[in-house]
Amino acid sequence: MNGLKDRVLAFLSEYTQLDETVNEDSQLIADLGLSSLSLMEIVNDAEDVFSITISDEELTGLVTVGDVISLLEKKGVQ
Amino acid sequence: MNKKTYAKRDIPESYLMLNTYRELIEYRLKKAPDVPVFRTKNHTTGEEICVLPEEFSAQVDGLSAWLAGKGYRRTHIAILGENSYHWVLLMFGVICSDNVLVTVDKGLEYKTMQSIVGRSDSRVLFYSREYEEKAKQLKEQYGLEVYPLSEVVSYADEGREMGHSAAISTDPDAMAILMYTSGTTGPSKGVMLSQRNAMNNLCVSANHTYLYGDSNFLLPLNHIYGLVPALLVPFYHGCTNTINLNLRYMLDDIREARPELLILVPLFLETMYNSIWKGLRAKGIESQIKALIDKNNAEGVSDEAKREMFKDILASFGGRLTRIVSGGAPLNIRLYEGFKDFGIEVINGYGITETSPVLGINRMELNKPESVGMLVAGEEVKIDNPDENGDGEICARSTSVMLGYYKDEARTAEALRDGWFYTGDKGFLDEDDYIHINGRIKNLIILANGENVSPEELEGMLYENEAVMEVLVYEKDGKITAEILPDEDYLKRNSIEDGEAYIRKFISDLNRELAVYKRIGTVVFRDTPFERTSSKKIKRKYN
Repeated sequence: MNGLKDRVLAFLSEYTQLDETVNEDSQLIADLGLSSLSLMEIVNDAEDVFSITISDEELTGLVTVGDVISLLEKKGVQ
Repeated sequence: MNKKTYAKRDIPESYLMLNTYRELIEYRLKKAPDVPVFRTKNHTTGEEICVLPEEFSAQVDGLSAWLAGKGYRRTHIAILGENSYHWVLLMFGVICSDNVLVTVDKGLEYKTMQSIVGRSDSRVLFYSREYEEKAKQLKEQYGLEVYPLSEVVSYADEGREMGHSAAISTDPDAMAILMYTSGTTGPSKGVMLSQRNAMNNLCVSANHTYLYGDSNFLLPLNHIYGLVPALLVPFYHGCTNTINLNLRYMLDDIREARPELLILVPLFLETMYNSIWKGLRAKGIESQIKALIDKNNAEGVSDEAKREMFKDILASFGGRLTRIVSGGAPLNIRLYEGFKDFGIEVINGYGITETSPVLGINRMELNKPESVGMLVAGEEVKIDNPDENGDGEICARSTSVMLGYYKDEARTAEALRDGWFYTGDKGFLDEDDYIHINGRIKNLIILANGENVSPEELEGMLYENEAVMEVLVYEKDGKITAEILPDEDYLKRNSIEDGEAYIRKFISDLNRELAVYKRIGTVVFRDTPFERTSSKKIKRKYN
């Protein structure tokens, strides 16, 4: 779990500045300052980086860092 | 700089002015009959739609006949769905059949959607598949007749078989579009626009926005900026407009459509600009390109030469892009300069739903990116009640000014006085008739994606939690910020030890319910009451 969390945070840090307060409850748009458009770009890139596909419905459900981790876990990413 | 308080620009006789959407179709048919009007590509299924003017015209006629056959006339027809060719076809069909198009923002929370459908007196609703559940609930509540948006082409075919198309006369001055926009107080306001409002604005904007190549449509259709200039300027000019179906594939669409001009909000510019530099970083050539840009700027290299020099980088936008019109929200000058470094001219403009929307746009021959542009032809602008610096409320008068707010005489009377629309924006006019904005009279947050958010609406939601004693919502560093004074007595009475965590949790839950653009990004706590005005209202930051 921690390994995956670290991977997700490292991945997200490519798009926005993360500080030490970021945790699984941090919201992607509200707390991390990502825009709705950059979120789409991130999801597209995540498909390549983690070799998965993410549907539009799944994208809509991504609100927090924890949601991203759960989705990746569900898709078998470790 | 000499500041002025009044300017008027006449419409040159050479401008062709249209009055109705049907006239626009006829004009387009003659202007470029062999150039497709719209194109879409579904990047998941690979399905493509490409429609020539004649086919489009026939489909609009067919759909109009089908709607008339259903007995709809002056009926308020709501639309709920993401951008698609079907959306555009329905819009033309509704307006050309003498009905009223009610646009519903698909990103809104359900409660607000309900309110809009109810207050707009919608009788019919077209929905896309993704919103089927919501459409069913709305049908139940308001007794609506509902139809899937995906079927409009079939309905148009049925209508064509009925054979009495194109005979429906419409009044260009009657309400044709009903669009809801955030107010500073109370619920959103229904802006009533006529065909003449929209066509007048389109014709003058199109004459100020020269377009030679294709375009790419990326903005939401439920906003006036998308619905009139971004969608219809390319239509008017005889170009093909590729409608993006899903913003995840925005760059794919741009690459394939190879637009010469894009009409966007600043958030898109930011995303495109960041994607350039992300690509350069990934290739490890960021510093070399920066050095080249510095050299170009020192030597005064032309835009054309820059585009040639950076053609590999610009290939990600199709390779033909020369200009981007930016509107809907303030443009950060950094973006203007950033695109200029690659030979792309950003043209800043200004518009408001109530003015259909364009009021000002920069011109290629004199681009002042720090302004929101020269007023468009046919527009009259005055600066009301200027202060000692010459800044006052920007007011506009023209054929594009709305009919009023639907069933809201009080707010109509407040906004429209002697034909002048009071924008709520503060600024001045310069000696060349360019509008400059430097503040707001009314309290409204305008985000980079062009969405308007009413602080009072969010404050009302926060006050629903009794632990919130006082709250002020404002925008800071591009984020919606809520500054809160917790009610210590309430927290004590309810044995809540960590009041801040309790309120943060409430806001986090609230954010999940809210439309994405309304979400509260920053929470600041204070331990003293806010300063109040003489009327005992909390003093806002801009006062």
